[in-house]
Amino acid sequence: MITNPVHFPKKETLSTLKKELKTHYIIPGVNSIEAETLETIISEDITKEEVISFLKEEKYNKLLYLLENIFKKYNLDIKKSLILLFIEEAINNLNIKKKILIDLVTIDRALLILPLPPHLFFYFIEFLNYGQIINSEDKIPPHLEPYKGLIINIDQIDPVILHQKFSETKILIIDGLKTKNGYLIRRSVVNLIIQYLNSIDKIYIYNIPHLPKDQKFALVENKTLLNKVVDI
Amino acid sequence: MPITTIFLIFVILLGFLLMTFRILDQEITVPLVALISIILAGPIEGYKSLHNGFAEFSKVALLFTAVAIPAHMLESSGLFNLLGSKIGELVGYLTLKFKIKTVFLISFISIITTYILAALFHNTTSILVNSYIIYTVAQQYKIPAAFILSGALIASNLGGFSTKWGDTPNIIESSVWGLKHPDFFKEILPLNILLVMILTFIVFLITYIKFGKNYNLKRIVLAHSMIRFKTESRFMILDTKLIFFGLLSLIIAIVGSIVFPQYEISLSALGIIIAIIGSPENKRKQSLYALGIGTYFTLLSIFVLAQVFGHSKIGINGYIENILNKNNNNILPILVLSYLGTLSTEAASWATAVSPIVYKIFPTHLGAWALGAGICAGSSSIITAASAGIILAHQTANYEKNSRVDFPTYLKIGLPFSLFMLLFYSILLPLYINFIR
Repeated sequence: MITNPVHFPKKETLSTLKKELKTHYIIPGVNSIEAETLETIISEDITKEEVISFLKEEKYNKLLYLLENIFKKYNLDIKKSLILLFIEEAINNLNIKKKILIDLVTIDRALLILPLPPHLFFYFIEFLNYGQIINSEDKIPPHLEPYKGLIINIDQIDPVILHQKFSETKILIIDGLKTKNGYLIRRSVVNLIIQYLNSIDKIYIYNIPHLPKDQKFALVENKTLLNKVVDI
Repeated sequence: MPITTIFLIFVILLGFLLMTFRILDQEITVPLVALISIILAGPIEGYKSLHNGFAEFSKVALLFTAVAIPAHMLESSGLFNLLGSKIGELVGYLTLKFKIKTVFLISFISIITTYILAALFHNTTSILVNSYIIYTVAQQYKIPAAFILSGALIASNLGGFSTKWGDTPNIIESSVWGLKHPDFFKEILPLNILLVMILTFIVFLITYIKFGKNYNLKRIVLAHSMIRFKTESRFMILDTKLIFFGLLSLIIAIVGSIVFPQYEISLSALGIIIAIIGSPENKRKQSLYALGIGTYFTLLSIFVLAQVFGHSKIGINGYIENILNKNNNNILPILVLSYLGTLSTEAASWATAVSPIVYKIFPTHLGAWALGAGICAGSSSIITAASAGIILAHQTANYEKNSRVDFPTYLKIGLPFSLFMLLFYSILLPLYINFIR
């Protein structure tokens, strides 16, 4: 009996197949810029030492701590460790977001300083009341136009009331740029934060990728402030 | 030469020095020089120059406003910021994926983007928008931006010279020679594109020789820079209404004028009206005065000064006419005179002063292009020769040291390249115009 020959598909090794595939392991907006950086080069032959040196250089201690824990606990190769790291970091970051929301419910004395990106602002808006959102720049971003009734412009508020608000604040949510020496914080609020730092318990900071044009920031290296910072 | 003419030249040069060494702002110096020129011209000639200067400025003011308002709207909408982030991301992506040299990519993209924006809008708008983008991208990839920004200034002058609305001298030359939009596209744009390509290569080469040889950024650091830009653009919010109305008014004012040149003024006015309607209610005044009263006043002063300098009894039109008449079969004197004139006065004022004289001797388009080319090269020679350069120097003053563009830094690339431009135009311009005819 003559049968047709069976053609087996060309055998592909897992490593060549994986190099051609672009799998997304991180969750944009939840994972950090540093985690996404590691994801970008995960398919390359990157070493454990390179990753650790990068995280140390960038002073991204949270990711470094999580990664070292993964190495200790599971003793996996770098790629598997990184995939676990992305999940660990996402859980960690989501827990922080949850903690902020719970803080906003339990501690009434919170201030949210705009601008913040929409993926954060829309979480927090449901948990805040009038008088808790202050815009530190002169214009309101277009996506916040419908909410402008809830937003107080820093230039239009009575300075006495503004100082009172900061003096009573326990939780602050702001944006800023993380640098190797500290944080760049908007000039319009930095003095108030420093002045009332002792009464502030936590400063949640969303790390912006670059300084926006024509907006003024000041570098803060104050240890007391840095100890109170939680990266969102 | 009358003593008043010598004194006027002295006042112009003094004003130029005061601006160069930042003792006085351009917006103060130019009106002051124009006012002195009116006094020197005497009561009758002074009034005539003032009157004619205003008359010539009226059309320029309208055309400028029709481009400035949409440009302001597009900038406010966040569109240019998004463009910057996308450029930053693209540089990282191409470097990682195809292993192209980062220095080359940043030089190439920066120069080409500045050129296109200058051709589409205006050379000063292009520098205003692009210089911070170039600086951010270069800084993020750890490349000093001084030479790239210097090259971008030349590219903005070339872009401005490529379209009818791209720079003030073009508007003036167009009205004297009756140049239409297609004339620019056909007769000067291709040569300018060739020059931009040469410029890109030179900027890359200088930056590479100076900094690039030791440039060895780890791939992980490159990826980090790329992801910063990607994250920025991911969460960037655009004002779509501003973009729509900004683009619509720009299309009406620019594309409309190309299709219906006889309605240029009406279409520019319509473009302005649509832009104002499309601006948010509380921002309409800001949109309408986007250029700022200082810019209008400076431009107006330039036109008045040019009237005194070019047409009054104390002017130099007679001397220029003599020089050009002696060499009426060669464009080189026009190129060199325009180069030196722009270098020592200002592009728009020089164009206004000498356009009618050059037209009398060279009524063909070649005369207009020679005048424009000399002005373009002169504007690119030193940083204070054109408003875009003064804006760039001011903007980069607070940048990191190796990214600042000041007088001596710019001179290293500006002066040699502007001389090359003179040579390039003097040889290729007549050949190319003959070729296409």
